[in-house]
Amino acid sequence: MRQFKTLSIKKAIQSSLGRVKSEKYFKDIELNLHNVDLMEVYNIALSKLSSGSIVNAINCIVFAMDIDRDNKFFFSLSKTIVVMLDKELESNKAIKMKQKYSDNFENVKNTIKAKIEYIEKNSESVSDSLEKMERELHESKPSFFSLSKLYLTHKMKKGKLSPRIKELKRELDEYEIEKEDLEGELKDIEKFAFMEECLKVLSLVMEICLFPSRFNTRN
Amino acid sequence: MSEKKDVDLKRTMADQKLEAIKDTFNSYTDMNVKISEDKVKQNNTKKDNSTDDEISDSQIKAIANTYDAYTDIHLKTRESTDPIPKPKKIVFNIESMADLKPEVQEKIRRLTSIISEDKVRRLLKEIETEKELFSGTKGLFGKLTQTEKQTLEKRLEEFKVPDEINRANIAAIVSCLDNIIVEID
Repeated sequence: MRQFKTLSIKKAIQSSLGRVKSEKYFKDIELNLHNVDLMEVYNIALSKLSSGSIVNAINCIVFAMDIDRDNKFFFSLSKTIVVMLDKELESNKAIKMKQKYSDNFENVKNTIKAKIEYIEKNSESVSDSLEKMERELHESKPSFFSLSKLYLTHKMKKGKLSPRIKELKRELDEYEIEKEDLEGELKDIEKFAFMEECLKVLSLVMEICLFPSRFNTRN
Repeated sequence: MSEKKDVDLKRTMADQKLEAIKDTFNSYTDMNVKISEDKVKQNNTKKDNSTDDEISDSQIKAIANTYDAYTDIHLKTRESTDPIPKPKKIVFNIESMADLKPEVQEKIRRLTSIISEDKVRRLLKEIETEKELFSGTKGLFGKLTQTEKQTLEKRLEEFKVPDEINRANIAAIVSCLDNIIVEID
């Protein structure tokens, strides 16, 4: 006779998000595993959630639902969070971002990070060139003690380097503005990507509780 | 009395085993790191030599398997000597806010006073009547069969909680979304 065993929520999340990404949803709550008081866990979940730590609240939900799949209080809490997260991800700001990049938030996050890295590299190289030119110009400046340096040579150098220095400074400013804009966008995108991930985890929890047969594994 | 002695003896033996496992663990970790470093070196020096890469990969895989095996032994040893039973399903009931811990009640009360009653009422209705998100074709659970749709409706009805608790949940999540702590890996 075929036997089936129910997949634990923890394992389902691990296989959906991967071991590294899912790790944060299984730690940080100090629970006495041998004397479980789900009422206490529910109190922790609400308290953590109201402090802004959705991950800790999910920790509690996953932990509790793995013990009691039919717990209506944790299910209801999951449902409320899921609906609210979905509303937030359907907000104007989120939709605009999605339309701008036409990709999911996780990929957009990586694209923006790569762009920032590229800008930083370019900006560094421009900054180096600028520093080099400014030093060169400064060193060519004649002083009372330097006999070998002539004012004419310095003037010629200045005439040659000054426009280039000006251009590099402008380039640096442009990079700085672009980087600031991208960092602002990244902050929003990271928030949305994080919400998307939380929504994914919680809807998986709900799905396992609602349709356990979808997750039965052969023994 | 003798039972207690037995348990103590088992625990001491388990502790010794765990120590030994821990040592092996550490030595394997060192080996793993060393092999990874060697692999990087090999890649740097012999870029076209694929056989060397395969050997390193298999070595790393073997060590990872041993790791898992040791973790299993570690857990089994703990389970076999631990006389305390595994967590059991515990049924609890909350009728109203008064059943929550006083500090949580206080927190929720403070939050509820900030959020307008209209907003809470609107959200309550939206959460209660949300259908598309759960049973729509592009919903969270994918395309549902007729049986699944019936199960969903039945379960959603069964999982209903008192209004006061729903309000507490809403207050907590609304506050969370305002001050969300984004945890990045």
